[in-house]
Amino acid sequence: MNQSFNTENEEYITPLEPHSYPKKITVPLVICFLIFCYFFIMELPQIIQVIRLCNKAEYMYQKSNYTHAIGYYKQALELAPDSTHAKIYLAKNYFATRQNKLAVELLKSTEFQTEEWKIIASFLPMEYYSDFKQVEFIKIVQVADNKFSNRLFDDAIHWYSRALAINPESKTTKIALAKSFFSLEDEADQWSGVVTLEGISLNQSEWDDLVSYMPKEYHVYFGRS
Amino acid sequence: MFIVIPGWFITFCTFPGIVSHEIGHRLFCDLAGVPVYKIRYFIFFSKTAGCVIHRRTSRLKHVFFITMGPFILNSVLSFLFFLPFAGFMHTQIYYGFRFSLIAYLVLGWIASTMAFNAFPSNQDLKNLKEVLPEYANRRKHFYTIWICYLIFRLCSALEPLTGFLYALFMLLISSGFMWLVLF
Repeated sequence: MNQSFNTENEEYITPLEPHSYPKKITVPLVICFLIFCYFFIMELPQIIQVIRLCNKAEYMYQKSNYTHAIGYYKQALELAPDSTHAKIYLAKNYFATRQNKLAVELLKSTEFQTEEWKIIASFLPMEYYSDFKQVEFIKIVQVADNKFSNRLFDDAIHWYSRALAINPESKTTKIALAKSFFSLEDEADQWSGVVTLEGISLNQSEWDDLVSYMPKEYHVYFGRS
Repeated sequence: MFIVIPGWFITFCTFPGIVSHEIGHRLFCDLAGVPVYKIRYFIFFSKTAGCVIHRRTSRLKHVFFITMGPFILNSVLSFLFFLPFAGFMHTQIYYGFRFSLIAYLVLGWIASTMAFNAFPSNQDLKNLKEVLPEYANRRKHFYTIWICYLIFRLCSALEPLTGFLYALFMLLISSGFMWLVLF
């Protein structure tokens, strides 16, 4: 807010000195400016270099020049040792050059997010699925999803149950399993669907997805009618 | 269902933006040579979050820029301070975690509060409106400033929604700029 005023005795009121700010204002501003400068001077050039190396490596991979690709990814990892992107694709190149042991060691030494495990699942050879539970889980869910979309609900139940044996906490898999149960005609199977969802809190979009499969008489168990 | 968030809570959470809003008024007062008598950068638990008291000026250009000062300064600072945050968002997968990210997150919060508080307040616009009739004969400036006044009056009436949308807009602009720099 800015307020202006007229005063007849203005000489008795001393104006503030122009462009002079108290320390409580200038110090935080200087700190923000220093962080800003640190990013642009210290980190940004390095980040750009890492991205360029990763792009070059990706280009080499596409040209099937795996040795050069490995070299670029290694350089990227020297600059950014925590780069999950470089690690994933370095492992991919190791597999492409049959250096499987190195690839497995590299993947085992890092923690990845779910989306990153999906990328790894796309290139990991089948014989290593059992070494990486996350990949095994993703692959089994993919099979189950495929069975479900082909309306092979008994098979889908089998594969979703196997996936849950690996990762019992997966909410999306439990919901998918329940949907498979609800899609069967038998009442006992449908009741199994209700039991599967026991203890799960469903948000609106999950409920909307589920409700088209769930017979109406079971809605009451979820506090909805 | 609506959740009512108390105004004092929003003010408290966005105080860096309020401080820079007042700095914006003061900066343009200083640039225009209008003496500033008192400034409160942030007032806790008050309906008036901050204030700048300066000498009355009848020059339209000065009044306009003193009113729009926070919008200009907060927009520029918000754009700049969002850049490291946007850079972090684009490059996290390439670069991994590092401790400077915490500083960038804080900077991103400051940037969002600045964009949130960029629009001139009702009192600021009232000051501008008071001076406008004196310049009715200078049509070109008069109509341009009237249009600006009406746009900002509308934005001010739709607060805090407009503040929130403007913060998102600034993040998008910074993010787009960082994307061009990086890729």
